[in-house]
Amino acid sequence: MKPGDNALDRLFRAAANAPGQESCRPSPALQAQILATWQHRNPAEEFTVMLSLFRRAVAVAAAVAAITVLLSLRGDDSHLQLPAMDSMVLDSVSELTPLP
Amino acid sequence: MDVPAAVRRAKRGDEEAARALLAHLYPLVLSVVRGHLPRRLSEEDLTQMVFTKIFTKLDQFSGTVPLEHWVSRVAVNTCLNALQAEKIRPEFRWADLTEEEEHVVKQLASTQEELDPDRSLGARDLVEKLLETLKPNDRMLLRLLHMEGRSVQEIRQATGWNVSLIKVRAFRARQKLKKQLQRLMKENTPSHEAR
Repeated sequence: MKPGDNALDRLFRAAANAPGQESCRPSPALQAQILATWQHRNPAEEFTVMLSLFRRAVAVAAAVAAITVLLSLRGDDSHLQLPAMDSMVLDSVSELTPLP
Repeated sequence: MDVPAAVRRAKRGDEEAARALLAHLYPLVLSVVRGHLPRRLSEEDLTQMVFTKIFTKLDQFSGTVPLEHWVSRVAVNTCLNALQAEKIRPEFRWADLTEEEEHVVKQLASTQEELDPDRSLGARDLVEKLLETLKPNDRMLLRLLHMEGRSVQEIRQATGWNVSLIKVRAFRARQKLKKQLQRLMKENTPSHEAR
């Protein structure tokens, strides 16, 4: 083994044997923070939030649909009329050339 | 502690089960966090980040591997993401070493014997300084390999890297550290000390 390798390995071995800091239990504050974050993101809670959003979206969509129907029934629909379709169809037919 | 049962209950939102899992997994998570802590983050902040990720992703834990392996992987990846943002420290010189670290380098240069046990703290600090000159991935790999004594297979499980990548990366990272250490040992020659 090369001297450099040897020195590095000895250094690593000594460092790995250094005493570590002892702490086997989370502090109450840390525990509370982690659990609070977890509960905030609890899937059951997320589902409730999503359900309430969905209900609101359905209510808004129903209201918009009702308003649209009411307006279409009450409003003047003359501007929606298309040009005379009969003449258009006849014109297109007259332009056809017979096959040889 | 019945870990699978606690996981099932925690998945259903049982706070007591989550509390028990937290206490059970804390030493494991703390050891990973302490080994791979970026300079800009506190130990507690990073531990909280890891646990938040663990509990958020708990639904994805299938139970096909032991919970501890899965948690270890989540912890290592969270630490690695935190380390990615950290800049690599430039090379340091003899003058940057503490007195204790100087003794360690002198002893390494003067003898082929193992370092004295009372030099272990200095050795750990010196290793930390050396590791900070490496890229985050390399730093994490050498910590796992040499400080925590993990096998290549265990590192593969924890990081998701393949075996050949681990070996090549470890070899290159060791080469870099070796050069740094040799440079420090040369700086400790009598000609340098005389200046």
